Amino acid sequence: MSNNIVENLKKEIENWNAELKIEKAGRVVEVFDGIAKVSGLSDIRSSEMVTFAGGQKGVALNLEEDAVGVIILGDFSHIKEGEEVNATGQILDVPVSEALLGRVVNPIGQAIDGKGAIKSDKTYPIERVASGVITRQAVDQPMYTGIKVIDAIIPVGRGQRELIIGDRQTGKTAIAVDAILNQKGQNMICVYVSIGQKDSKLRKIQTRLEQGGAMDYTIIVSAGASDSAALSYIAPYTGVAIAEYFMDKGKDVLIIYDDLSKHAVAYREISLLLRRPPGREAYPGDVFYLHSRLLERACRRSQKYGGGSITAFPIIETQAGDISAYIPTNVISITDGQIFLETDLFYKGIRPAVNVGSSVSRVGGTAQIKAMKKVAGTLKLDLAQYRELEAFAQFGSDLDEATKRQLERGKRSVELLKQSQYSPVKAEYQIVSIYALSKGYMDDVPVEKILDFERGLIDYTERNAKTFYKEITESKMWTDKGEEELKKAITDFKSTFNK
Amino acid sequence: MRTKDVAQAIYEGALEKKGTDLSAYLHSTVKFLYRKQLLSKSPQILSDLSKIEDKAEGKIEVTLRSTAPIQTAAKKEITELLEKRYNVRHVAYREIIDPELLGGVRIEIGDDVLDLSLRNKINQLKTFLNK
Repeated sequence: MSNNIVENLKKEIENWNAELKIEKAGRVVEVFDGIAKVSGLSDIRSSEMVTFAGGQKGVALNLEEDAVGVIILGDFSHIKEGEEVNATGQILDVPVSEALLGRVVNPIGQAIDGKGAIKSDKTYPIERVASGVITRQAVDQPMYTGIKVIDAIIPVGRGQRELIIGDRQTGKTAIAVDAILNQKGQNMICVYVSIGQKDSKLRKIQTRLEQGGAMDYTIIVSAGASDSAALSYIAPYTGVAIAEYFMDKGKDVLIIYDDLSKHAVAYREISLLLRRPPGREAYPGDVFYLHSRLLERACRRSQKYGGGSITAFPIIETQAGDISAYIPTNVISITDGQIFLETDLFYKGIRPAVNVGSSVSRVGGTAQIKAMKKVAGTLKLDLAQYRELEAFAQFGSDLDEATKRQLERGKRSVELLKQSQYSPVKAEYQIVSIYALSKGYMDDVPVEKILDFERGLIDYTERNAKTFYKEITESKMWTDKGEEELKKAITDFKSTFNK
Repeated sequence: MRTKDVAQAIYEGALEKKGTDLSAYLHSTVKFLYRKQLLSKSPQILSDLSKIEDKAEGKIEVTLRSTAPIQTAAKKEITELLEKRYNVRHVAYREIIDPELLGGVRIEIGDDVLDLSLRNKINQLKTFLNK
C-alpha cells in the first residue's frame, strides 16, 4: 500500500508540468524628467503598471507604434538606457486596509510617516469607473463642516462635491482642516490628499489633526513639492481609491483634494513631456476629463447597494481672483457648488472669508435639517439685503428707520458668521445663535460684542433650554414647547448679559 | 512612409519571383529606394523584412542566455516547447554566454522573456523578503 503511494507520487511528479510564466519585457530607449520611452512591450495596456530593473514602478501612458511612454513613479535617477522593463499585466493599484487610518502614505500606498510598513491583503485599482446611476441615491444627509457660514448658507450633503476656491492665503485649507476636525464622532472617515504642497505645511496640518484627535479617522495621501509630477498626477486617484474601499464597507467618507490646480499643472507637465499636443493655457485636451472622472467618483450609494458615500472637497487656487481661468471654470462646472473665498474679505477681518453672494450649493439644501433650513432662510435674505444697502449707506446720512434696521441687522449677521480657525461649532448651537439673530434678539447688542454674546448664549441655553436641544437632535425640528423654552432662555440670558 | 510598410511591399512583390526575375526586381527596388531617399534607412528596412519573412515561414529567432553552452538534449526540449507554444516550424538560436545569470537559462523571444535563471530567482526571493 505504502509502496503504491510512493509510486503514484513519483508518477505525478514526473508528469508535473510547471506552468512557465512568460513575461513581457522591453528596453529603456530614453529617460528624462521622470518619463521613460520603452521599446518592445508589444501587448501592454494603457495605464498598465511596469517595473524597472531597479524595482521602480511606472505606468504606461502613451502607447505608440514601436515605443511606450512610461511615467516613472519615484526616483528615476538610477534608471539607465538599455535597462530591462517588465510589464506586470496589472493596472496600477494601491494597497488598502483599516490599518491606513491615522497614517501618512505616498501615492503608491507606502508609509512615509516613519511608523513602519502598512499591512494589507487587498488592493484597489486607482482608476475605476465611477458608481453608476442605479447604485446611487440623492444627497439627503447633511455633512457638517462646523463652520457657521457654510452649514447655514452653503450647506453640504454627504456625497456632494463642493469646490473650495480662492486666491492664495484666503483660508482654503483652513476650511478643509476645520471640516475634518468637525467629523469627530460623526462616523466619518476622512482622506486628505496633499498635491504638490510644502512638506512643512503638511506637517503642520498633520500635527493639528493629531492634536484635535482627528488622525484616528483620517488618512493623509501626500505627493510633496519635491516629488515627481507623476506622483502628483496619481495622488488624487490613490486618495479616492482608498475612499472607495471605506465606502464599500458602508462608511461615509470625506475626501479633500488640496489642490487640483497643482494637479492640473503636474498633468500638463507629463503631457508636454510625452509630446501630447497642448491646448488652452498649454493644458492637454483631456484636462477636463482628468478632473471630471476623478470627481464623478464622489457619490452617495443607495442602501440596497451597501450604502456609504464619498463627499469631495476639491480645492482650486485662483490667480488674483480670476475664476474665469481654464481650470477654475472646468472644476466649477463639474462640482455641485462652490465656496468662494476672497482676499478683500479676509483683510477686512471677515474670516472665514466666504463671499456669500458668489458661493452656492446646488444640492446641499435638500440635505439640510428642517430646523436649520428655517433659521438660515431669513439669514440669507438679511445678508443679501445688507449687501445691497451697504453701498447706499456709505453716502447716506438720512436713512429711514427700516433701512437703518436692515443695516444694523446685516452688520450683526456678518459679525455672527465670523469664526476663528480650529473651532468648529455644532449644528444645534448654530441653530440657536442664528435663531436669536433672526428673531431680533441681537439687534440691541453692540456689534463688537456679538461673538461674546453668542458664546454666553450657547452656554446659557444649553443649561436652560434642554427640551429644545433634545428636540433638535432627535426629530431635527423644534416644537412650540421647545421654542417657548428657548425664547425664555434667550430673554433671561439677555437680561444678565446687558448688565 | 514607415519602414515596416516599405518592407511589407518589397516582400509581397518578391513572393512570386525567381532567378533573374528576382534579381531584376531587387535591382529596381534599390533604385526606387535611392530615388525616394530611403537608402539611409536600409538597415531598418532589412531588419523589418527579415521579421516579415520569418513570420511568413513560421520561423522565430530566439536568444538563449546561459552560463555554459547548452547541451543538445536540453536544447531539443526547449525547441519542442517553443514550437508548440508559438506554433512555428523552425527555431533559430542565438546563443550568448552570460556569467551574470549565475545559473540556469534565459530565453528571449522578441518581447517575451522566459527567465529561468538563478539570478532571477534570487531577485524574486529578495523582493519577497523585502515585502
